[in-house]
Amino acid sequence: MSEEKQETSEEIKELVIARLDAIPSNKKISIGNYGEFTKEELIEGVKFGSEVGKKIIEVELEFLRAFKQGIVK
Amino acid sequence: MSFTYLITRPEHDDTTHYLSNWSKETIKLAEERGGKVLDLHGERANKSEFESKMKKFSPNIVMLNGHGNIDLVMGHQNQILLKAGLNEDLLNSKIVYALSCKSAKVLGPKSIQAGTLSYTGYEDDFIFVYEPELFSRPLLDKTAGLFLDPSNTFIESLIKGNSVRESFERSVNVLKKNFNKALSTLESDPTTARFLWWNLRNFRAHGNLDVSIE
Repeated sequence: MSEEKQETSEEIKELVIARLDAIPSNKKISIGNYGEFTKEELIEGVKFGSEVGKKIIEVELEFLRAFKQGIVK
Repeated sequence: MSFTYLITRPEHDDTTHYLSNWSKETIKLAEERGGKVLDLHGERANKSEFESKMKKFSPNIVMLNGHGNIDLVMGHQNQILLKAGLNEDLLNSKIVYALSCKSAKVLGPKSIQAGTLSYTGYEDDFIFVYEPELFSRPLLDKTAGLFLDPSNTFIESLIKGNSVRESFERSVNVLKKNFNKALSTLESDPTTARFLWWNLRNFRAHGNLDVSIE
C-alpha cells in the first residue's frame, strides 16, 4: 500500500518541504533511530529521497490524511 | 505501598539525553512514595546490569528509555537490552513502559505471551521537537515538554497506584491537550502538532490493562 514505497511525486515533495519550512530554525526534531535533524536537514532528506526524508513524508501525509478525514480537529 | 521501580536511562546522544533528564521526575516521585528505585543511568544501562537487576529484584514497574525497533529496546551506546525471542521472559509479571521507537509492535505482544502483565509503548518512531539552545537545561525546554510530559504522566500515574488503563488514558489526555494547544494558541508552535499527533497515533498498551502496583 504505502506511498512511501512508491516513487514520491514532485508535488508531494514540494508540499512536505513547504510544511517543513514553517518549522522555526531554532528547533531540532528527534526522529527515533534516524537521529536529530534541523528543518534544513529534513528538507534535504526529502529532496534527495533519504530514509529520514521518506519517513517525514509518511508522517506529513498521514497527518494530512487524518486531518482530511476529520480525525484531527 | 511497597514497590520496586527499575528505569533505564542511557544518555549518549541528544535524544537519550532528553529522555533521561525528563524521566528524573518519575524517580523523584517513586522515592517520595517509598518505592525502591533501580536507576540504570548512562553506562549502567547495559545488558549485564539490566539482566542482573531484573532477576535479583523483580521490579513491579519497568521503564525503558532508549532507542529501539519493532522487536528490541536498547541501552547505553545502543547495546541491546531486550529482544523478542531472546530474553523477553525477563519481563514476566512486570508492568512495562518503553519510551522507545516501535517496540510495541512486536516486542510488546511477544512479552505478553511470555508472561508480562502489561506492555505500553509506541508502534512506530517516537518523535519530539526540542530547542538545542536549552540542551544543557532540558527541563526548561517547553517544546520538548509538550512531548515528554505526557510520557511522564503515564509512569507517574502507575506509581500513584492507578491501573495501566487509567494511566494510559491520562497520558492520552495530556497528549491531546498539548496537541490542541499547539494547534490553537498563538504562543505555541503549530508545527509541533503533527508530531504530537504521530505519537498519539502510535501509543499502545498491550496485556492486562486493569493491573496496578496496588
